[in-house]
Amino acid sequence: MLAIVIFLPLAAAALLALPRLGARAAGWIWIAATAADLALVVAMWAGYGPGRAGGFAYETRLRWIPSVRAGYHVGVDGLSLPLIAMTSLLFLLCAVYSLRRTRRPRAYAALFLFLQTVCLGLFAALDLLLFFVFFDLAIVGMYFVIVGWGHGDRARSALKFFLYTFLGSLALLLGFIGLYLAAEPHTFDMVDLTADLTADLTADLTVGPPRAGAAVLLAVGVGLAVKTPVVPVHTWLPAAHTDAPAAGSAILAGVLLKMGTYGFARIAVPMLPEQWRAYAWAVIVIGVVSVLYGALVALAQENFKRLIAYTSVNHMGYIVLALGAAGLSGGRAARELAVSGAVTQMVSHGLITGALFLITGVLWDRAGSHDLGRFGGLAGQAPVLTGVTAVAAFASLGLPGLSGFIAEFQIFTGVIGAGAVVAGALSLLGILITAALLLRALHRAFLGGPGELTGRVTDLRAHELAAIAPLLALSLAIGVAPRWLLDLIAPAASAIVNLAGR
Amino acid sequence: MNPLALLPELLILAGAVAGLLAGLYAARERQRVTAWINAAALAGAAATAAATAATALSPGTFEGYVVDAATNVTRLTVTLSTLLALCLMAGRARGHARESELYTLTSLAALGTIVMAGAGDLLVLVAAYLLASIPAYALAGFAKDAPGTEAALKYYLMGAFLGVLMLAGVTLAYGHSGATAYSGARAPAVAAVLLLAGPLFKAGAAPAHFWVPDVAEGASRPVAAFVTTVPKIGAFVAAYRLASEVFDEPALLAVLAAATMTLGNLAAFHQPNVRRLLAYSTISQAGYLLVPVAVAGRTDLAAPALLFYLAAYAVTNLGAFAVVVATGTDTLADYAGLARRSPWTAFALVVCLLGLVGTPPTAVFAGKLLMFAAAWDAGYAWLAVLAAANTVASLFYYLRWIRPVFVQEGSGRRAPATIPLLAATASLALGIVALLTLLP
Amino acid sequence: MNPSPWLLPALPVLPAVTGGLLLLLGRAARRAPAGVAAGVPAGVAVTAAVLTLALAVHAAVTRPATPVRLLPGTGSSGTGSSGTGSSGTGLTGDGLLANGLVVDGLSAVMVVMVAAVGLCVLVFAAGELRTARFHGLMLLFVGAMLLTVTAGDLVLLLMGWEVMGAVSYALIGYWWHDPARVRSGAVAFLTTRAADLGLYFAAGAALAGAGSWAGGAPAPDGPAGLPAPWRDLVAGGLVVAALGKSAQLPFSFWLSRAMAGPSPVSALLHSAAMVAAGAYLLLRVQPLLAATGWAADLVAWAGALTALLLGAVALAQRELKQLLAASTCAQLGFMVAAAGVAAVAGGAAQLVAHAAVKSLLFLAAGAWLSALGTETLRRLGGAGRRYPVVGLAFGVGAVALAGVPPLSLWVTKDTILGAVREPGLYAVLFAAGLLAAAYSAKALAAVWRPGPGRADARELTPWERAPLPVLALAAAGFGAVGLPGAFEAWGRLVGDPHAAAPSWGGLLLSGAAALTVSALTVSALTMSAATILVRTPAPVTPLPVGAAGAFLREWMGLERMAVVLVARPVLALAGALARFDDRVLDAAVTAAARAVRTLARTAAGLDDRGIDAGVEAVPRAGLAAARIVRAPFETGLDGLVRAVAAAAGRLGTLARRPQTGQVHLYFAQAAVALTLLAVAFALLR
Repeated sequence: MLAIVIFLPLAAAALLALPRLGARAAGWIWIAATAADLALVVAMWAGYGPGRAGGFAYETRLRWIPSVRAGYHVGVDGLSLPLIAMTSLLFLLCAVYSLRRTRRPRAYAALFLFLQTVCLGLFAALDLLLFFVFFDLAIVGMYFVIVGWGHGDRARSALKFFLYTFLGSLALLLGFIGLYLAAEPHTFDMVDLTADLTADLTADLTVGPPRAGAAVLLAVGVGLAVKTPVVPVHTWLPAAHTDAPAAGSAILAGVLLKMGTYGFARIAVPMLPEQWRAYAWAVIVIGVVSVLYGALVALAQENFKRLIAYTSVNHMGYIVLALGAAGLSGGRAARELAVSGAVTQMVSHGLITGALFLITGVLWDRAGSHDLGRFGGLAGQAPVLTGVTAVAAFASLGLPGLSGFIAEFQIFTGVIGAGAVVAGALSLLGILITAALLLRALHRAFLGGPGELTGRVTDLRAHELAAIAPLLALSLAIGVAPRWLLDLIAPAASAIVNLAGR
Repeated sequence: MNPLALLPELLILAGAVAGLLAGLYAARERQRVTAWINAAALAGAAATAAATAATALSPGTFEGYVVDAATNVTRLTVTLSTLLALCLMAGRARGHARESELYTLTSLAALGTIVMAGAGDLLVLVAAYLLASIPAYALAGFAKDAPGTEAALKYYLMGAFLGVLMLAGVTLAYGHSGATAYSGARAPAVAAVLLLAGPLFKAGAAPAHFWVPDVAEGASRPVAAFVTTVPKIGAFVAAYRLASEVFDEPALLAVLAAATMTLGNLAAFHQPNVRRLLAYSTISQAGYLLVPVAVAGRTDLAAPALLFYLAAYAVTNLGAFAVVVATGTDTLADYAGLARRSPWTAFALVVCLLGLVGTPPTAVFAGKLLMFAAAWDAGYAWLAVLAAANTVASLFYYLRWIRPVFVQEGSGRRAPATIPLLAATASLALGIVALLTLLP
Repeated sequence: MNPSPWLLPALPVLPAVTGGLLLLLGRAARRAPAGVAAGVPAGVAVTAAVLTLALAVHAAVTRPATPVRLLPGTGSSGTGSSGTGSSGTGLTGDGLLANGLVVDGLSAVMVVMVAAVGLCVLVFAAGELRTARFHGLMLLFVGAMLLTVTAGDLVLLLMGWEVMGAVSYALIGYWWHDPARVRSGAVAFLTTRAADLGLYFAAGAALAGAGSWAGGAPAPDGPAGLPAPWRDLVAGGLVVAALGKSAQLPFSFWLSRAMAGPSPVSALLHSAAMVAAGAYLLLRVQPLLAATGWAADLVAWAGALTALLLGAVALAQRELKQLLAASTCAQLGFMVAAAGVAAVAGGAAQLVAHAAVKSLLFLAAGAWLSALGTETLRRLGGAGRRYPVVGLAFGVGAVALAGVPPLSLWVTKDTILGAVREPGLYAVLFAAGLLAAAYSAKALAAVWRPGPGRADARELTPWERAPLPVLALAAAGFGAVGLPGAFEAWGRLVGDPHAAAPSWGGLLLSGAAALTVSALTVSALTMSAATILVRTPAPVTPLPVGAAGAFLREWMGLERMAVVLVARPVLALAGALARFDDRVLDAAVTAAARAVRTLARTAAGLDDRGIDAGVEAVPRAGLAAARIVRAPFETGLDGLVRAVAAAAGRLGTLARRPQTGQVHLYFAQAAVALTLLAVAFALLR
């Protein structure tokens, strides 16, 4: 079942390549494939069972030759299932959003379907190599999305994106090799690495060459940090976002960034617990700096899309902060809460930022600009767009009743509760600055008097609303009644805290 | 010892001779038959090599020749890549006056390459070096045009010079240890450097890499594909055997590896000519390939890393050259809009170039992974880091090639996609299979 | 105990969902026939408010508790859904974190008050503002406040608390075409949110102190029993949040900005909702404040000083709504001080009485504003006579606000004063009470003095008139709660069983003082009270005058201080960081890439044939090296990057020297390189 979920989009992409299809047919195939995939994920969720104490469901472990440890190992747990669901939803909505796109629709759809397989595969991978394969392919796919369908100085931005994140991925690869060599017998299998062998692994890394464990953590950390991204290795992000097409930005921010934080939660923390605890303070500092720096730089942006890109740095900083707190020695409940918040934030940020980027796409589509100063008073002629943007903005600034609050409240409470009082207090300022910058953006583009480009903006079309509204509805659902999600995450968060505490 | 163990080599030799003879008598427009003869011989060699590998038929040592897993893998890789190169040549050389010689020379060079890899004695190595080199010189100048002739001359002179150095190294090693068999010979540092001159030349590694760009640009495209790819295979296996048995100079090889990969990558930036670009890229790949050679004997991963990387590199590099052959143009600018004209060729190009970068799931990725692991495991983590940094740098010039293919509109002819696609698919398949099974 | 457990959640949910639906479907309703479209949103809103009031009364009578746990517990129950919320003691229960919804005595009073005032305001608004957006937001606002006062734990409290703030932003910026109003909304929201961070912080500190999210190890005395540093941190966070929400010093300025919204918004925001939440929270956690030893004093003084200073600010205002806004801060100061001096019953009584009074005053002010188009005190002459119902109601409210016997605030204020033990604090609060009398009298005089009749003034609708007498009745009569006997019952109701009724001496003293000050003010303002009766126009003298007056009129420059000390530095920092991001961080990456490419270009120089610059290359390289050394001191980072790139270029010139493309030079290079290697490794061996 999981294999179908992962590879169904790829099969659909192949279908798009074969016969001579019209643009409309390609669009509908895209929607149908992603919808079917989402339906399968929902079924998986339903079958996952509420009382599962841990471990992986829908596990597949391909044994090629009995004596050889196989490389294809996938499965889902409370950490990956929410992300998989969020990914499928976001891809479906991107398909809906792009329904009327005219430029090379078949290749566009095929590329997105390819990306979907890659993203789903990454979140399901239980083997470091498989993880890396998907990690790298996501970069390739996104490169082509930006370079082929972006705007502005897209070639340069795409190149920067590729080079920068590729550098990160190679650091990650080196780190994986370090883990592989430290395990006895050598293995890339995540479950083996975390479960049976971790004691040996940590010991190996400790008694081996001096600081080998720290070096491995550094390599893995740098690789994931570039992807996340945290300050100061975030500079690829604004450029890539600004020049990517809206749906591409939504995927990039909504899904691809999560690969970094997911990697921290899935790989760095459980496999290098001793090192993680030793350097937790460094992670926390990086997290706090990302939170504040991202928010402050976003506050100074004139370009709506760049602004949202920088808020992503801020929001991902919370996750890094929370995962850093998991390595502290404070109360167990607090650490679990922080990790649970981090996972919730991954989902929540995907929904909210996805919606915000699709909204910027609407502005670009109508007026060819993201410049806040050239709009104004859009509420008059585009009330639905304004309402949707307002909800998305308030969700992004962490208003209770929407998912961002549930995530961030858990993170703050958990971080402070785990003992990082100052870090928690400082990062609290992040939500204040975020509030200021989003209200400012709302004010400049949507409220007040009309601006230079206001006349060109018409209200949301049906397919655009159909793409954006479900994201916000889901964010509301999580914000008002989060237990269906949190109860799924809780065992996974508990497991991560267990692993980090060994 | 079972002489049947030498069947692949014998088959290739027989094919070459038979092809030559057939070429003597066949009419000019029927010379294609020699291609089939050589191809059949190569295919037979591949099959027997595979059978030998699978049944572990008498692995062992003749006097001065080793038949082991490394030899078998080399046989397979060389024969299959030569087959691919033959396909490239056959498409271009139809009706050429010396068509049959082309195929025969190719087969002989391939044979020399295999023998180089299997050599277990310094003197056999020298002989194999000559057998691998001399047909290649002729191939480089085969077109008899000015650039080809100049390329052949440079190629020959470099080869002769470095060959002489290698001979000097053999002499020194013999004088030092009184033996020429690898098992008995020992080479001090100076002799090691001299001995390496030959393999480094065939591999196109620094400081013996100067011929690579000139030949790649001067020779005809299919020949360029062959001589920058296939001889490397034997050269690296030979160097590996030398490094693990005759001398113990990991630091020397590490320095060479570092210099080669860095130099090749830096030089490939800003090349407007795709053949020179690929030439420099092969130099940088030679640098990566020297990494497992450097750590030979220090980790179990060295041999698998080297052999797998070689196979992966051969098929991927040939694929990239196949695109150049198919499009028939060397200028980067002419690739603008290729994706619109010939989507599948463009797809193959992307796969091969990203493969050369080492993007999963292509084969070179698995090779690179093993290479990194080998370096790390042997205590040469800095080399792995340097290789990683170089990989990122290489991405820049490969993307310079990929970008116009997809972005810009351009005019040009459609390019046939069969062989490039074949190579690209092989690269992908090899990579996927390797990822699933290779890692113990 | 809990006959229908869904009734309690329905209390906040009903108005919130109705409001949300109005917002969502409001545009659809607009397409309906004009008459229907105009009336439907208001009708829906009033109906919802009536139902909410019914639910509130029911909840107040039955005192239900419903376990609602938003976040999963990590105790033994794991994913269990049953909370421990039936302890019935709200935030003071067995932990701050997981109680669900609870209605105890204090909450019961609050829910009824909120629902009732909400209904009055919505009825009033039905006569004036008819968009679905307005009514939807108002219902959402009421829902959020109801959630705040029924929340038994910090998570739910924070939800109601913050949603209320966000909705207040939307309501204050209701007329979004006007940038100034939108900015006012933003100022209000950001200021209160800055204080709200204290609640987040308190939640974290509570978790750290309790060590578990729920169930695990309940603190025996509620949050007051937390271990030492955490208890103080929790208290500190809660105090900051409450002071911000209640517009106490130094956050008071946002309340002035909040006047940009429609008057019904002010009527709700200044009385039963929003600002009341802060006072409510402090009254609720009074045991915690007392336990820390410092928080109670801090709160008492903050409230007292606010009451005094903002009373002076109110006195200095020239606009009716600004006067009322400042008086709100001042009156809330009494409640905050009540929490500090453990006068929970008195504070709660003051809260309810003030809610009635202030909503009444704002509705009246709003009626005049919409009818007369002005709110400047100077121009409101005659307004009371022109609209007698409004005028009389306003008069009752103003007299109550002044603390004149026998109206409500006279009594409730004294219940607080009676609990003050510290003479200094008592003096400050007593003086604040005198100021209240003064500014109330000023407002009263302004609207009741004779003035020109306005021909263009419109008549008020019955909807607008209807709520005023009701509220006036409450404003007048709620003081009965302070009667001996009644006050003890009240104390038991709100959880302060030892509350003592105010002494007759104190009541007489303050009543007399208020009466005197009011009379003096009126006479000072209008020369003589008689002029009101004989209807001769007289100017209203601004009071006080001079520089101090201007300072107070500008709300003591609080907002300018916030702008200068916080907003501008943050914006400047943001701009600087953005430039840093573009010009240094990003540029460093780009420059590194460029340096590699420069290096590459030199390495690719293999193509260049016949370059004979070799002789010059050596001195050039030397110069370049010298430049590299000098560069960091000369031009900083950017210069360094450029110097590295330039040096790479020069090194390339050096590297190109032997690369003539000639075979014999290839030979030479290969030979030299191999020789060097051989020598090096032979020597190393």
